[in-house]
Amino acid sequence: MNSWLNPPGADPLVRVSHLRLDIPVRGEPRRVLHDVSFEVGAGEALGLVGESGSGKSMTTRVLMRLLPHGAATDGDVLFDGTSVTGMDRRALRRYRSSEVAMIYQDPRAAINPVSTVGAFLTEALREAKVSRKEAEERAVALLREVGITDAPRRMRQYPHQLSGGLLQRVMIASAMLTKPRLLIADEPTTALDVTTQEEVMAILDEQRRERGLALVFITHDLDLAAAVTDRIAVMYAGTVLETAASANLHETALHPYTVGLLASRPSTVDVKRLWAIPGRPVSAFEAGPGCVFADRCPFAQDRCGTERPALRTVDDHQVACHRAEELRGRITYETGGDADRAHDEQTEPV
Amino acid sequence: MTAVTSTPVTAAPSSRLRRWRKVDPVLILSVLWCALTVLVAVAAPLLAPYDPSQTDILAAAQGPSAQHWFGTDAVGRDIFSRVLYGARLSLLGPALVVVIATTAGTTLAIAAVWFGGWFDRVLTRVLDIAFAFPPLLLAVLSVVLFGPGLTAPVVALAVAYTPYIARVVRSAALRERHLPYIESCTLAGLSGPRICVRHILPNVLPLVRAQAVTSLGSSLLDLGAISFVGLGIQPPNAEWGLMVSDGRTALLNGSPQESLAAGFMIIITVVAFNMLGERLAERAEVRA
Amino acid sequence: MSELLGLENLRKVFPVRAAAGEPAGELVAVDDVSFTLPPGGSLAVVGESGSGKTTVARMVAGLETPTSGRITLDGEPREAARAGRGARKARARQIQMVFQDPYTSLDAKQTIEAAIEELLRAHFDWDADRRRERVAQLLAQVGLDKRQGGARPRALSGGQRQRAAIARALALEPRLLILDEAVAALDVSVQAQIINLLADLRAETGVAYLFISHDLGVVRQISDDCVVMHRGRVVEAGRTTTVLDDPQDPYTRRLLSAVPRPGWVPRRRATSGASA
Repeated sequence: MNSWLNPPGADPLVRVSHLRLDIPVRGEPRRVLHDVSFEVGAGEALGLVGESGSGKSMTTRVLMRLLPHGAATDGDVLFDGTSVTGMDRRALRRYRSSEVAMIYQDPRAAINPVSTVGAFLTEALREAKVSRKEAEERAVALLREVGITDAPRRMRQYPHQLSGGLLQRVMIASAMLTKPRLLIADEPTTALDVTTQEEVMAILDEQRRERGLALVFITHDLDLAAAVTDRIAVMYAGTVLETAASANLHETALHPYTVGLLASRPSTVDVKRLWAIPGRPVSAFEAGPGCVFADRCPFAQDRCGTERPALRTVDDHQVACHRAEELRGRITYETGGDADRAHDEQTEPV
Repeated sequence: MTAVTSTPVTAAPSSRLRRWRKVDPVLILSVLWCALTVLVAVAAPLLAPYDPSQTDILAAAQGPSAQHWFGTDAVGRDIFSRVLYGARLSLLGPALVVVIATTAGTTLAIAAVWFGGWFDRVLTRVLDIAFAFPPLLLAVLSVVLFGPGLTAPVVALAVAYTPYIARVVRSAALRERHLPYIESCTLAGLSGPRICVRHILPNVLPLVRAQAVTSLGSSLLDLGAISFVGLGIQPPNAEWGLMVSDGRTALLNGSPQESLAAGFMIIITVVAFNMLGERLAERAEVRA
Repeated sequence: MSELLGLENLRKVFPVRAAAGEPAGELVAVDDVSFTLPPGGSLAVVGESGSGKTTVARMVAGLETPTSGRITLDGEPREAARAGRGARKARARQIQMVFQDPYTSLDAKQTIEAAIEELLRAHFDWDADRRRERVAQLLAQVGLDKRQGGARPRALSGGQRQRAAIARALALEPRLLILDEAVAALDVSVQAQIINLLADLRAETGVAYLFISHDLGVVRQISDDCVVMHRGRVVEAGRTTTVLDDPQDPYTRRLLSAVPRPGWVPRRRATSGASA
């Protein structure tokens, strides 16, 4: 076991180490995750950030053990010291129903369209032999907590009568009902407008903190992740490339990909020519034998194309880059000089 | 990874995508059988050991033998040869029905979708009404009006099958019609007919193909039934539906070869076309 | 000052069919929208879902007919939606559009080259060599190589498809390009490439952009002017820099404050439970 995975003190709630995942595609195993390692302490929030094909969603599938038939994993996935991949049926059911809760990008796919919000929320409690009256009271109280003021009316409504933002709040309430220890949120606000996103994120964050829940937050938005998590793991092509504290990731990012990702996000406060990482995001199975980012990295050397760097500690970060120390603080993506064109004076005010 | 995430990720053992990757014996058998039947129809003169209409009263109503594999019929014709030759008329009818119905149905459907408005509403209503007529009834009616043979039932069935095809194609074409690529063709100033023929048609073609193959099966069955009741192909032509009917007397006398052989051909061929059509439809859906 | 595109009191009302518990009625998607866009300019229409921004774009493109109001091109009223052959072609050379979803905005059965050539053939009386030359030039302009040009959309990534859609839209050298959330579906690193490409193309060709977006960051990079829409109405308009640096309307302020950025913390608003 790598020493950095074992910080002094208590065992983490979730420990994923050197996770590898193959999934059959057309009968052939295809690599989806190369090497994923991270930890989430009790009550801690971790952001898994990456573009499409990075494997961030697949990682949560492994955490929930929701994998397609024929999937093969390697490495450890531990929840409170117990191997998730090794759980028997009963343990797995208990784990899924009371230890972990999940919130998806599309709440409409996760809720039965023909049952009311109330029926959806009380179902699990009723199953656990809670009386109808008490179950409903608890559900209404929770809906109020997630900012739904007219909760009794909403309890009688059907999913299609609720907006996406409201429905996502119902999903948050539902996730809190079973009092889990870990919450997995997979792009919960990607389909929402920004103003709704702010609301939903604020509620999610508040609920999580009040209850001391651990959170794994999947997103493609580094700024959003930074706002609601303690630490961020940046994923690319089925690999964790860098893990760092969210608060200062912007200033201290070490991996060329992380820096590039930050530089390519258009800002609302100033106009500059964006630094665009060349090429397109590759999937895990397309990556060569070396660093998975090597073919897009402006700082790649011969070694990067042949030898895959392992995640190691540099400063307070874990980073998988051969040149991390050498490049520290020196990765500046120069922006082009033609940005001023956006200001030219041929237009008149509207 | 798009391909991976789009597979339903559950513990369930198989998804449609996965099933497609495996060798599909039903599909292979269907394709082989359909190809074989067509081949037989084309090459019947080369394959048949006897002239299908040559009678031989001395060798009438014989059981299977080395000379006559399937035996002979009531007037001594070689049943095996008649089954082979029968493939010609038995397939020609359905082929004509499908060509006419597919062309008409697809054209109407795409036109309805393209013009929309009242044209679409009226056409849909007319198709709905036509849909309510059982094809067989229409065929019988047509024979009453125009006399028995190949033409009358084929035309009637083509008319009856057109709404089936038009319905399926219309809903697929409607989906394509409102996709951005079609809108961008409109914005590019391309003409309506061009967009319909060059863009909408190729994109609904997989579904049209599937529908056509399935219709081949059902129209073969329908035409066989019409011949069986004596309203279609007339004796002494060799056709499977007719042969099932011709063999009835022999059947009662304890020699079922003729009805059996022809009936078997009808059933297996219909099943093969249906299976193939279903698989093609699945494939068309997966692609969409 | 000259004006390429003008919108005057544009309004669009959609009939709403009766649904369970709701009577039939009307939806005012766009309500009294006016703005102008100079030749070679770039104007962003910003808003969230339901703001009516896409309906504005579709009316300008001619895919929807305004209920009332006027759209002018070079001061001339734009022809009716179902115009004759000549007018249709003439408009195609004025206005083109790039859609959000790169997966459905190209014909799956056509190679990229064939899709571009089709337009050239329909509009110009050129020989095959000249068309081929122009296709190659367009592909180079958007950063696609020969192999990608010969491929069908299925073989290309989202970013490459969007490049192809842009090349096709520029084939007729339109004066106005409508970009309907054209970079919204792309990964961040690819989005940056396309934003830069769009900036370069405007400088090279002098095409004007009508840029529809919900993303204020993208809007800042790509537009000179912007119009903020909320529930069908324009709530604020002006130079993009002015609007984003010093927003006057409360809705614009809220929109801006909701964008995640370094140091940002999501905040709950008091009125949250009331909206459906």
